[in-house]
Amino acid sequence: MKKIMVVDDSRVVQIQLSKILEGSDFEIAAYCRTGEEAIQKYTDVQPDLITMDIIMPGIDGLEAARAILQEHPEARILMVSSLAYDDTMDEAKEIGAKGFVYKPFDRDQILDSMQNALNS
Amino acid sequence: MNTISQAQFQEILDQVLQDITEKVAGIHLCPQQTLPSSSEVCTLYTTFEGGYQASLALCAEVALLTRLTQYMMQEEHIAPEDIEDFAKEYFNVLCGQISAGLFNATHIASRFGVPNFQLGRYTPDGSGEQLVLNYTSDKNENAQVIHQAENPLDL
Repeated sequence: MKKIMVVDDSRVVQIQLSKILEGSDFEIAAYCRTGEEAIQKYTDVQPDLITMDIIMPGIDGLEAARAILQEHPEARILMVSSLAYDDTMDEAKEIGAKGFVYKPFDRDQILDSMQNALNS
Repeated sequence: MNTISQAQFQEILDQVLQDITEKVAGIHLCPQQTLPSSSEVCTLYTTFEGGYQASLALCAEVALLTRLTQYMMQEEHIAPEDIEDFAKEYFNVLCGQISAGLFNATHIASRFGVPNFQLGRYTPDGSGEQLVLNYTSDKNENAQVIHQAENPLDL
């Protein structure tokens, strides 16, 4: 079972992902509502993959991803956001994110992207 | 290209609102010239920052947001806090898609703040040009989008 850390200020995403991941090879090991919380929890949780929103209270998801990857270059981060345009995707790629999923997402999109992020 | 007319912007806003509402909530919104006054409404609002500074508010009847929440949760019985959370996430997706639409049209990057939710009608302060779009759902629930740009759209 692959451990996922979900970082999103909306519990809607947590609910949606919980339903999607039922019966899959992934389980939600931790849920963080801010980027700061994700940075703090990463070492304890040691997730196989992080799904990271961008627009959140406090530091945004791109800053949080940058901070985690600086400290833990092995971290695998999949950005999940509605900010679906080139500038943001380029920045995510430059930071070292393993992929980008647009909101609203469907089951196949998110599962495929999670698998690709783990295999890349 | 870094200019956009009011009409082009209105088209982006209208397209995103209709497409996303249909996609995430299965609700078809039909544009209207005017709306009757509604008593039980909620407002979602945020501000855009970066190359494009504006505020955006969506004032919608509670019945519409209730149906949206039920559809997104796939549950008939929902709590008032569910409506707030799901409406905020829906508005978050709308704002992201509007930012993306603006970027594709103008190459101006913008971000927006975490969406706010308020019971009742609320219009964010601001002195810029105001654009108001009215909609009625397939079940006669009303919604109004109020956009106020702080900097001109024709750059």
